[in-house]
Amino acid sequence: MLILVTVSTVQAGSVYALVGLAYYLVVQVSGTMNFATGGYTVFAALTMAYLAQVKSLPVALSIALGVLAAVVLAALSELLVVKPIETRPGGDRTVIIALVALLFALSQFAGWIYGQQPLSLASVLGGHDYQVGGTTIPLSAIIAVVVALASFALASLFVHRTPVGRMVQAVGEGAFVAATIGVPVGRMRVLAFAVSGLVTGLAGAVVALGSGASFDSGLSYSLYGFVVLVLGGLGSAWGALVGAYVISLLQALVGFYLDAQYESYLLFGFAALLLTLRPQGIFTTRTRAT
Amino acid sequence: MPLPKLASVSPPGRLGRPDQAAALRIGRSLVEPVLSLLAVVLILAWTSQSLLRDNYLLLGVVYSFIGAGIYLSYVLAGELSLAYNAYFAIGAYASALVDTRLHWNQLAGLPIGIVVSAAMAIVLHLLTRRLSELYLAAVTLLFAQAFVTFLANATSLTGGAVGISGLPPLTLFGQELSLHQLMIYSCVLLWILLLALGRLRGALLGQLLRLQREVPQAAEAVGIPTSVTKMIAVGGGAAIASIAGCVYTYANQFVLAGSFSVQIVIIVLFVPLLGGALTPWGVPLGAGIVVWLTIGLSIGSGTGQLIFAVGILVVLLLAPRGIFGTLRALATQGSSAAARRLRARRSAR
Repeated sequence: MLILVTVSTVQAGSVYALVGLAYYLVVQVSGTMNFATGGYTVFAALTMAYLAQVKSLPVALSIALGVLAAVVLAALSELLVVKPIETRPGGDRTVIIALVALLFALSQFAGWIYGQQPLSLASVLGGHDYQVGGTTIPLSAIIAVVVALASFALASLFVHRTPVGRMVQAVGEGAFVAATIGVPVGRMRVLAFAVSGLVTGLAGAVVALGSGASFDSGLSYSLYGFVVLVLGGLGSAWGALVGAYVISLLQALVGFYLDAQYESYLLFGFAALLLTLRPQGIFTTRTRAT
Repeated sequence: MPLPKLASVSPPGRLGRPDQAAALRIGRSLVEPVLSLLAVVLILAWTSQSLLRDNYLLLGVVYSFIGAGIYLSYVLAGELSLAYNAYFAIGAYASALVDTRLHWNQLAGLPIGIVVSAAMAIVLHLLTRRLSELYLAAVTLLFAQAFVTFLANATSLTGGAVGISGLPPLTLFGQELSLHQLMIYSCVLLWILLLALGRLRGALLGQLLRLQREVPQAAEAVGIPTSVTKMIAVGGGAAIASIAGCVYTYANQFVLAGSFSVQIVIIVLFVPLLGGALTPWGVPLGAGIVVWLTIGLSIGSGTGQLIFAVGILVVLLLAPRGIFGTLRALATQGSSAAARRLRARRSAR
């Protein structure tokens, strides 16, 4: 039983962690909670599965194109939606609505292109599972953990150890000051959105190789990513990773011992309790309104 | 020297005489209710010819009530609560349960739904009152999702996934109402509500709501109890949305958990934004567009919803004041340009 719960936890938790990381990267540079994140994830997953299964493209090429789609969508979101609205008076409020609209539009667009049936790439990994103590550990779970850990490590290196990453950080700490010292604020914001898109593309690959995705599941990923970020706090990207595995462990335990219906109660209860009692999350900083 | 009479020193007004100016004001104040009532009558006349049209109107009325709730809470007060499917469901189940459990007239569900929805919205608001609206949006969306799960699983109360069916038609003054008669009453109620919201927007409370939305710190500094005004808006919005649920139950004579999915919130959230903040009459306009795009426009599965979603983004980007706001701005620009041309012609002579 323990192995089953662990496998379920790491597989789901890795996707939540990647979506949470994508939120984190955008929040750090723009302060925007990008609710469309789940939409990029699902769009990427469906693109990969559709190209490989329906159009018979090579799997590696399909995954690459799916990730590219997520990168382009995220960068375009900043250029065409977030930036034009945020710069208007009262734009902070409107941008939330616009991102919800974008999530809805992405879902409908994915349903229109790829159809309304769930699509998956799970068949390409068939026969490559591992047996541990009589329990099957799917290769997709191992890929999920490796992709999640590698993404967090690379994102951390990018933000803290590269000159471009430091410029991104500078924009997040104060766009005006960053601009006065010559940081190209606009380009750094687009870059942060694109990197966030890359992460959601990888999350899409994990989803596609696992249980698959349906066009309307973007909202669910967006909500899980949000709760993961709230739990982990905005201080460190690694907080989102811990938050994701805590959430998915609780989800697996609730599903195993109680009933699947309690998962959504758990998610709401967790978010409400955290935001009421500990709004700064596990690791950090301010989430209160100024 | 005797003092002149007050009337003779007061400004005469644009028409030169105070009684004419007052008459003009009264005339202007009647334009909105008269035109909107005319629109209601025309719509009801159009739907009277077919049951299908009445069903379109039912959906439009339901979306309009929920949209009117969002107009009060979000457009006027800036509080982005997204649990509107829950408030909609509370009204619907309250109307069904008073019939099946208490054997009362289903109308008794209306005040119960209003009170329970408002109370629930206020509790959610209090949970996140110290946080930015972004968190209110996300937490209420999580609540919305959990509430749908509850509706589908609390079989003993809600009937679970199969819901509650076999409800009798609504009776009013001892007479069973047909769908069209129900639509007449619902439209009149919606008309009164939208008129009241329009008046509220210009009244003191409406101005306070808009002030605390735009400049919350300044509003608090001048002594406006913003926590109270926000609660009024959030509770009032939920109460209005619950009316949609009641109308839905009266019309269908059943309640299904699947009718209250989170997608309803996502769709109806944009209804008041299409019309714009300038007037609540944008709400039924937005609702009509949604019904037409999602059901009336038969151009393939889901295509109408895609067009709607893209349309919303276009409105948010290019016409942030909504359709009515943009039309008014264009009209103002047009009349200013005409006035400038007239002045230029006169000076040329």
